[in-house]
Amino acid sequence: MKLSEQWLRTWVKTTATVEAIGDALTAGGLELESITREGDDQWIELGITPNRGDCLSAQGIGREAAALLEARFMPLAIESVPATVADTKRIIIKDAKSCPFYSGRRIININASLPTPDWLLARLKSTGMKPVSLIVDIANYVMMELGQPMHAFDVSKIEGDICIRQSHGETVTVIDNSTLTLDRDTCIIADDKKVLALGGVMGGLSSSVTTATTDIFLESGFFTPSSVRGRARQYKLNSDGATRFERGVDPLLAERALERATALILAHAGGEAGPIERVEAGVLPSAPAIILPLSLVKSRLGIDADANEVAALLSRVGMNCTVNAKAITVIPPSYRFDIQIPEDILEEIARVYGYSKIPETLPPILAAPTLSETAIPMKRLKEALVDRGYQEVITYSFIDEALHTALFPTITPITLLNPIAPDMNVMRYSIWPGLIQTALYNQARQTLSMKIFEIGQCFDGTIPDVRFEERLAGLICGETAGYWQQEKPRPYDFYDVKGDIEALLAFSRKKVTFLPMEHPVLAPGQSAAIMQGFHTIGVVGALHPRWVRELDLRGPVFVFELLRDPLLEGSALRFAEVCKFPAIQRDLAIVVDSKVVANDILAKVREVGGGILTDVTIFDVYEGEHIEKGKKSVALGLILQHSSRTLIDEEVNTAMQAVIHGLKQAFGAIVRE
Amino acid sequence: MDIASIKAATQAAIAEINIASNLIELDLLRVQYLGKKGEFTDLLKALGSLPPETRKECGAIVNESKTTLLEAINTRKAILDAHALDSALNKQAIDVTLPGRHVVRGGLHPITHAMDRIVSIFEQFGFQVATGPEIENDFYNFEALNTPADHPARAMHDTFYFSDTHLLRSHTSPVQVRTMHDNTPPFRIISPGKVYRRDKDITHVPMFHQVEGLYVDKEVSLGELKGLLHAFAQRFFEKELDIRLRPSYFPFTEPSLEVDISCVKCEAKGCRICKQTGWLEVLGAGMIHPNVLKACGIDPDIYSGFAWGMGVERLAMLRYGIDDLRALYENDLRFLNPAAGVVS
Repeated sequence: MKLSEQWLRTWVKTTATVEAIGDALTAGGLELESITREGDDQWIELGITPNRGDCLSAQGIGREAAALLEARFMPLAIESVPATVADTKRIIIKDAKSCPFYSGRRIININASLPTPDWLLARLKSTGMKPVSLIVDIANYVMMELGQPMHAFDVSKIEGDICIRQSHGETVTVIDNSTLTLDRDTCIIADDKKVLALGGVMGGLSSSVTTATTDIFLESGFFTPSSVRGRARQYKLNSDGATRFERGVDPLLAERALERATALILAHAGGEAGPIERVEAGVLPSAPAIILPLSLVKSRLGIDADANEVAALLSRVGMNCTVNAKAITVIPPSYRFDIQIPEDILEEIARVYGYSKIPETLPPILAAPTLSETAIPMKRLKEALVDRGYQEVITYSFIDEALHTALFPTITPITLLNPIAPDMNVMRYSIWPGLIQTALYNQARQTLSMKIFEIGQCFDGTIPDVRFEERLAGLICGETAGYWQQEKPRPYDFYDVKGDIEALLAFSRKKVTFLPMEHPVLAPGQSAAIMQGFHTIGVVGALHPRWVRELDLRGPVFVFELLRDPLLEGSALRFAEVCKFPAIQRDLAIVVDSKVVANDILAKVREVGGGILTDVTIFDVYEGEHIEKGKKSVALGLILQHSSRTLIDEEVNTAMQAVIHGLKQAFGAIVRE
Repeated sequence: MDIASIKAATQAAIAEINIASNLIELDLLRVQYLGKKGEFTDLLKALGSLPPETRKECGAIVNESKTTLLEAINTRKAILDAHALDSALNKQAIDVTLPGRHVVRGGLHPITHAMDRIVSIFEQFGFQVATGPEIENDFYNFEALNTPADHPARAMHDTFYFSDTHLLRSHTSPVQVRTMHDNTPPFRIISPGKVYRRDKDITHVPMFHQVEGLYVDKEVSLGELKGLLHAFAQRFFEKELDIRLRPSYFPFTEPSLEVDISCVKCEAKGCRICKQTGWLEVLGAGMIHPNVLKACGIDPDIYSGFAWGMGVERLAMLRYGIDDLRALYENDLRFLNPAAGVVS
């Protein structure tokens, strides 16, 4: 809400500067947004929250400023304009639920083509309203002055009576030129033949006042907030009337505003007024009496004030208070639709008293919550990645459907009805699309080597059965940093990214295996499922060169994605005494088929090595000269140890023979001498 | 041979030893004086030709001289050894100003830095983290929060929809509703997370982050809310600053407040960041509306509480001197990790 300073000062008797008025309004909940100089006047712009419909007028702001500044409020003196002609229009209310009260009067023989007076135009402009023509300007002015939306009809366009009823689904063109097909429950003003207006929202074009109009019907009614709520948005209309009615307009204001507008029209357009016609068909909202226990003022607000002090604060904002021993009964003024419960009264007390004066305290200290030692903090995992060179990124959760479909053609994505942009229209099923776009963005800006990761929710299923999962995903491409002079940069490979994942998984101290797998997006032979027991907790691999090419990436690119939650739960910490008896190390080189994977070899050795085999590792894999094509040499290091005595050679040899035999049986392994 | 000449010869030899410039020269001197055919060895051999009355005295002096010379040689040798090591080290000297063999570090996103900081401050006040789904339904995002359909406040949130009932949460309040719904008071929870509003321009991004807090107990007061948020702001910015509460409106709180802090950039003198007002609006708060407590199965006659919500982007920008909101979501690695590869 914007208005001129000079206009505001006609309502409040104060010597306060405009800045001081602004500060008082801000402290009271009407935030000063700007003060702009306009000739010899200034325009004050205030932010009005949706609960304060009563402040959408000069009168309302004046009333509020007077209360907050403890200054005198000077209401406008409005006198009733007696009828000088008998012309009327019959009013029938059929939708009393939407419109419990409707009033209006005829004004005939006006000259609507006269100019709008300058003082009125200046005030109207200060509110941001565009001048239209004399009659429309006066109706708009009274709305901005008092807060009552009004409408003037050209009587020559009305056929028959004025009826307030629900729509039958008619079509109407309204004054902003849009044509609407109305819902059946929409409250309308109609004559015998057609729709004249949407009740409390906007007038129809066909019956609108023009400069040629000589006979008008001036309407001033009360439309209930629930009947107007959402209508403007539903019909995509920009309506100052609806903004006021849906927040609540003082039901006692309609006739006062009608008299005010009549006086202005007679003064500036001439003419003669008919009698006011009014129909009260339903119950007008009346302010409820609210009982406020006095103890709440202290316990909820922390304000020490007795009943009379509280009543004095409330009477400044128009509340009618009756003080009892332990409670105050409060009747709010008719223009306050937002005061319904004791908490609303508490807010009034606090804002008039001043939030700055409320003493600060702190909540009491609580018993410390339990502290799990097996829970791994997410922050620790993130920092482990950061230490290994990863930069965290945050990408949008909505992505381009085309990219989603390219990567996950069998997954139907969850689609937004109203995306902010066409290429941000589906929810991510995986974090990979976001990481790939980040890689593309940075590769295009000369950052060719990167390690990036992101953590966030991913979505699957169909509305309303949506599943979401917290995931951690990463992408690496380019080459190692290298080191001046000595170590040349080398391209990242699968084992770089696998090492990073292993470092993350090591926190949980749980056994994890990597199993070769086929994945539609990843290169065959360079992708693995990450398993914890029988559960797949992630995937890692080289992005398929086809996608690298199609997406215009610089490859190779390695990606991984892990479920977040398994990373956060570790096994309990345990320490065991060191074995005092000597360990024996034996190395073994075998030749097996190239396709035999390390995991299987190690598992076999552990299976057949017997109780004295405490560890086995692979320390070399070789293919090439001296090894038959299609075969590879694998060097194993075995550690053998007994927990309660020193091993003898014979036991060690027996165990080694069992291993060699087992590997031969399983993989046709031949021992290299 | 007399005592005087032995002493003179000893002095002369010591002088020579002390100026030997290297180990070879020193060894030649050792041979010359103390070797099998050395001058002092010869003196010992010549003792026999002396008269008995002087033989004993001269013998003692020659032996003493030999000991003195050996000490001088050893002392000189230690000095020459140290010199030799120094010069060898000098030859092996490296350029210590060249960069170390460093591991490139990545970094956390500024939002994570700010969010972690906010969360850990409230954790110190006994609040526990709760999280929830980003795809929500109308009940948890609006209905349970005293915001029925067509409520004017819905216009304040331009919401992303999947259907009539499902949407992207426009605040993290649904997490609080779920927590209150599924548990019994008292509560002290904070819910950090992503939220979505359909808005994109120089000061808005369609996805951003909030941390909301909730405190429900018997006898909770606005004074505690004020004290807690003031304490938070001072800790977050590591600064003494003022706090200002302004009445505002949210359907789910009553009274509702906007919370301003004195500008951290200009010390409340007025600058571009605070639009010359000296104040920065950093969060919204209020006492929880009884209807919200009721919708969550909590008796508002027994319990009361307060809640607040803050935008993490705004706090991160103020804290880390970021001017352009959009830079947070471009994910340009040169912006996110300017220190990568820089060695001081």
